[in-house]
Amino acid sequence: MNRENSIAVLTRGLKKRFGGNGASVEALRGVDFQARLGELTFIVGPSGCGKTTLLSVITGLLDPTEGEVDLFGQGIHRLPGTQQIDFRRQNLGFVFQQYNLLPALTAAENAAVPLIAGGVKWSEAVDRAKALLDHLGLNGRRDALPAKLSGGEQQRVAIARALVHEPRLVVCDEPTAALDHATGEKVMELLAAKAVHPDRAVIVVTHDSRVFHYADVIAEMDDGRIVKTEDKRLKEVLA
Amino acid sequence: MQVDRTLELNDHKAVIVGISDASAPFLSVPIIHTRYSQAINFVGRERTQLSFVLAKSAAGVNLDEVTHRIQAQTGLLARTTDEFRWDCIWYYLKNTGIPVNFGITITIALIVGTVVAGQTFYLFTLENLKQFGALKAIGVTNWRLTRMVLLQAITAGAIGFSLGTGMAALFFELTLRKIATRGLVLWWQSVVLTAGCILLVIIIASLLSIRRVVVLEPAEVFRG
Repeated sequence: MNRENSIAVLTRGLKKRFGGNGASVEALRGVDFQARLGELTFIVGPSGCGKTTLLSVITGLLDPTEGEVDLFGQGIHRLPGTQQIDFRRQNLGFVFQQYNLLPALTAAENAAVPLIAGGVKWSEAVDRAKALLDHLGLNGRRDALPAKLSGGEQQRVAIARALVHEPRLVVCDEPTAALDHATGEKVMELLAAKAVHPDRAVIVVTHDSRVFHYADVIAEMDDGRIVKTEDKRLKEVLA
Repeated sequence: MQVDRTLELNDHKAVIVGISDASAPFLSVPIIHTRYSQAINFVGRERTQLSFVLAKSAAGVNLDEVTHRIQAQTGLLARTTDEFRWDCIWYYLKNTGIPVNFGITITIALIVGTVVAGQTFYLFTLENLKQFGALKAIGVTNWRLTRMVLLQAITAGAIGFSLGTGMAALFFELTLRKIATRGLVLWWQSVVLTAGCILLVIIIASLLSIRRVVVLEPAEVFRG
């Protein structure tokens, strides 16, 4: 696929302001960003630079004050409420910093949540989730409750939950922040190996510089703007 | 208490010749059946010697007509069983502190129960807001989350009701055959009323929790 044709996420002049009447905070100040299919795109920068706000706007969880967000050629913020939820459920997978697994469900049931939400029968969804957990190296922990899993295992369950419905975009918010370095490396290895796919884009928001080497593209943010973009693939091609 | 045992009542000896299976009185005082002349000896001379006389009408006689006739002939109040029952109930309601004391106790228990149970359930929702936020982000609709909260509330309420009613039923079963507590009975109306109160708690707690979940911004899930 031509790299120009493989754009999954495209933002233009994205602005986001919180509050109003003199007490407003401009979290995004005109962000132009893109992420391509088959690539692992990192959004990096110091705390409070607007990374998480950008991720929230890209995924349709927050509306922008100005600017456009296209996901696979579809203006997500122009979709009516229910259609936007459906679009998110079908096309997006989420990995959160704190995993946010449901404590009363087993690992397999947690991983099956997006399928169940999409109308797949419980037993079928859990079977598919179990197969994916096996693929992610959690075959012995499929029936364990989150409280019985280590942080790394919980994050792997969260990755399974993000991938089980085969979304076209996976977004990860600080996936290694709650983990020690060795476990964080393993989680990133797993993401790079299992989540990246020619038909899928993966965006990782992180300030953990120890895992930057997994990125294909690094977009560096500061003060609500993208100040630098490093395209490792382009560098490789040019070299 | 047994037949042939001798009692002393106000310096008079009395022998128990039989034990009746009468309805338990509201107050825990013993009831003695004896002739009127004996009863006067037992209780001593008092200004009011007779409270009421129990009478049984012949079969097929109209009770209202009988009571009217007794009133007309004696000038005393005559009541049917049902009227007499309600006279007793209204007497206690109007002339004693029992309804106020019971009412306050029940009201406080209801308020405390509602607040504690409702608050516990609401706190459970607050503690799991991150999970609800994650579900919203993943694409679970507010309607589905509302049904989840309702199911949790109904399940918790049903378990609580079953345990509570079960323990109450066990208590009544254990105390029913004891002399001191033999008047205590668990009425089905009480169980229905309890179920109604629990339903009220479920509705209030669910509405508060559902409101919190519905207004939750899914982007909250990204905040630490």
